[in-house]
Amino acid sequence: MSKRLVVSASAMLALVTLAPILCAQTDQPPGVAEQLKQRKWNNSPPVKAEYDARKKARPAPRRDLWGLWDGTAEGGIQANGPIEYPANPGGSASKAGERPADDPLLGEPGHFGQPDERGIPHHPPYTALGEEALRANKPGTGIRAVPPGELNDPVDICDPQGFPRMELYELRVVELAQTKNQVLFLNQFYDNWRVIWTDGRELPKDPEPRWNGYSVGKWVDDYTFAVDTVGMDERTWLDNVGRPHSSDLHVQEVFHRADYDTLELSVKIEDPKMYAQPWMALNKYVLHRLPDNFDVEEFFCSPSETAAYNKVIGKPVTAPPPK
Amino acid sequence: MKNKATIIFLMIVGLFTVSFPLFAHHGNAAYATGTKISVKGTVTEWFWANPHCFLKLDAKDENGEVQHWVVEASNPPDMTRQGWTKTSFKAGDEVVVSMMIPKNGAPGIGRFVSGPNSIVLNGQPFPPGVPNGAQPAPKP
Repeated sequence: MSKRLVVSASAMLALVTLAPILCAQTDQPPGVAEQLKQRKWNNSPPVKAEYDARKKARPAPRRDLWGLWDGTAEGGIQANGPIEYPANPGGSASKAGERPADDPLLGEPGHFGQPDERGIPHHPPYTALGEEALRANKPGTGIRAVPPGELNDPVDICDPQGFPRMELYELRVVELAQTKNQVLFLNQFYDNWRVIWTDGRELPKDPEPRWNGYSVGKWVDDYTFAVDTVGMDERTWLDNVGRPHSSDLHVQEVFHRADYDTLELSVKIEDPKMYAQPWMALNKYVLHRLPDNFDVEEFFCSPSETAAYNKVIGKPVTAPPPK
Repeated sequence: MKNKATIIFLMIVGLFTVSFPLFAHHGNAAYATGTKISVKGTVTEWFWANPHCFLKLDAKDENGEVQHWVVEASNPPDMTRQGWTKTSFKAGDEVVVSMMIPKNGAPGIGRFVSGPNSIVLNGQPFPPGVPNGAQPAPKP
């Protein structure tokens, strides 16, 4: 009698342990499964509805970030600024279908073409220095959008996005890979990576600036990984609408593995020179797990391809109109 | 649990709602987004690269003179999501494309506008299928 009980219990235990593994390959968004049958390379993330159609949540593994994570579906492209602080103006110019240069009230309060961000519902808490640095950056989107010929966004000439912009603009597919002493963040947009050291080292004091800064991370519990980053180069913008930062910027990320297929990313910006208080640029932003065999397209910014585009289209459409 | 037909429907809805997202750095700021013209011509080149893919075509004006046109789309990953590929167009293909034109009046340049039948390729609507699935789009 007791032997049968032990056998049954073992069988149950085996099933429960194996169930996530057995389910892993079958619980993909159905369109993604079809796509992977058709082609093994250059796959395309699905729309949000496909993720929403998944079966119920599977339990999160402990201390495990590994996977291909899709940031596109929940709005990761962030053309108008980070999810928590978009720079869309209020008033008529915020209706779908209206664009900065088409706004007949360009420059009027509440419309595009503003010198500052007073016309949006909430903006980061700039210091005087932060306001000045903001005005020096000329973006093509958001309430301070300038005409195309006046842009000065460094990524337009293929300068690195840097960190944290790689999370606050064009957050598409990211691979997180854990080694013995690092977490590697492999970013699809502009095919760039950053290293998060997990060997317990201290952040550097007074570091030489780097485009992606210097990052250290640790598990605060079995499902929460916290990262600190300093030493980011001042040439980078925080986002696509020209928010500035100084070399004193300190970014704190929290990666929370909510369940097997869901990662929540929070990003806190702390830069007392530019911002009177810290502010959250992302707050539990959801990334969805993609199948382990999901190959993504390259997305390099190639100077020669950019030059070819500018010659044929970029320069002609942004030139002043003929008299 | 949604059935397969509903999933495909949602993907098609997704296709048209995400068509040509204005997610370039500049959005469509250089174009007069209220305009829409149609140009018929022969493809000379299809350029599939960042920052934006573009299609070159030769059209004939009313005098039979050749006009050179170039029409831009978005970046390759955005276009892949909508079923376009590096080999979607080849020199010699006959196309009719709908586009918006630049505000500054620069000639022979446009940007694709989205929606059904905005591109006709060798007599067929383009793109032909559902971006993230294997089956062609169901007939309307």
